[in-house]
Amino acid sequence: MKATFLSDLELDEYNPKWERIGVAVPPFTIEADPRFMYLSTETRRALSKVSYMVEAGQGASIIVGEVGTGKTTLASWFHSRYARRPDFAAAKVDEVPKKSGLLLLRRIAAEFGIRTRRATEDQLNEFRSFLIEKSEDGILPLILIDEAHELSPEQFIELRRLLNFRDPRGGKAYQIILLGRPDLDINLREVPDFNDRIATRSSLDPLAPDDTKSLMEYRLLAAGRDTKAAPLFTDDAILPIWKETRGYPRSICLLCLHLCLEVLDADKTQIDAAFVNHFLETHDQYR
Amino acid sequence: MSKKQETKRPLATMAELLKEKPKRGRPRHAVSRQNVYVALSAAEKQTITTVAKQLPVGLKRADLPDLAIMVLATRMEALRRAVADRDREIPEGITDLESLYLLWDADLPVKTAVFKWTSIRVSPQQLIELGRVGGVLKAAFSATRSETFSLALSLLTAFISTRTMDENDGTLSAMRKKIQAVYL
Repeated sequence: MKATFLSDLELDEYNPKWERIGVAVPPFTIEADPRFMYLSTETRRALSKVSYMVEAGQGASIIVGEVGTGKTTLASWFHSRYARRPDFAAAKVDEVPKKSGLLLLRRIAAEFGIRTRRATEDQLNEFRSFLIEKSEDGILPLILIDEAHELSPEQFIELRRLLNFRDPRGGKAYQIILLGRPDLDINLREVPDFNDRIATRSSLDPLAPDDTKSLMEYRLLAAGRDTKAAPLFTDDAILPIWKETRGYPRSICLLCLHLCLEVLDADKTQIDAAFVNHFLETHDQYR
Repeated sequence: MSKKQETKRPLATMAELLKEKPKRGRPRHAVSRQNVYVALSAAEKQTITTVAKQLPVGLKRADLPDLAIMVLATRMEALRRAVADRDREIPEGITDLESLYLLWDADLPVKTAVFKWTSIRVSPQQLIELGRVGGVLKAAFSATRSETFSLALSLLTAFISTRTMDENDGTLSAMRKKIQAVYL
């Protein structure tokens, strides 16, 4: 009990002075926060193609990427943007229920605020009624599924049935965005009926060193750092960070978070290559 | 200069004005094109030269600005129609002018600080289309007329390089029909 108490106390007392590095909020977190989403060329390509397909009523779009490439942030971005549009109703499924197609339909229904039913046909009828109601107001339902590589063939079949609903204007009634690891592409080969209905495919790749630098600068700017101030990360610090993280945005954010905490502890104002290398040598377990 | 040339009398002013002069850089057919000034990079000027050589027989380099604007106007119209019932004319994820290049798989413009003001000659209809599209892109992304034309040029380059042209495509009206058949 005592140890717990001390640990909590230490946690309460641990309050990094972020203003010392010129930011109002922590610039690097591993949370999927759309406010901090850096738009690399590949991200912008995915955004433009997928949002075009959604708004043109083309049905299903997929975005694949390895762990930590920003899929969840992108899903949050889509959800936050479309949820506030009066002509869209957005539902986001973060965790796919195991195997059952009905459970997936029930999860989506709950997100839309539709009544959940115990039989698949009844549930589909609820979706149909929801669609009629929304169509009258010109509202297009959008379904976002994160971690979609976990979807089973049975669940893809139910999603295909949703895609079969037609909008009165002629397009597909339900718009679906699936985000997942590259396995998603492989799994889709097992369900050709659904695979053929995919309007666009995008992939998120790890960042190049230039984009790594841009991501770090963007997050510092979004956290309130003055653009006229001397750079927090010197140019020579970028390469060791990129080599350590291999350009994966989540890894970059985690390492930069630790570097920022370290620079605050060390009473310094700049992070250079020597600082990064020393940190990596002494904190190889920082992950 | 020879003595014979020195003694030659110069033409009177009126005769000089009435003299038939070669009209360089203008199409042989009669069109009343208007000058539009755009800032182009060296790479874009080179692109114009390259694409001009790939145009169907019957079309000249002077027709290239009209064609580029036709492609852009048609693609913008297709985009507008696709999202016609929504609250926005430009989809949510198209956040800047470069996003349009990415959406349409066109080559991104080469980033350079050196631009040269260039006069392009544009037919009246294409001038209206350039103004209309330029207005939308200016309102949405603060794009300049030069940036709008650069996008048009990139789209034309992609169109010419991916489509097969035949002898029936040798006029502007035939090309307009072809572009509309592809994108609308």
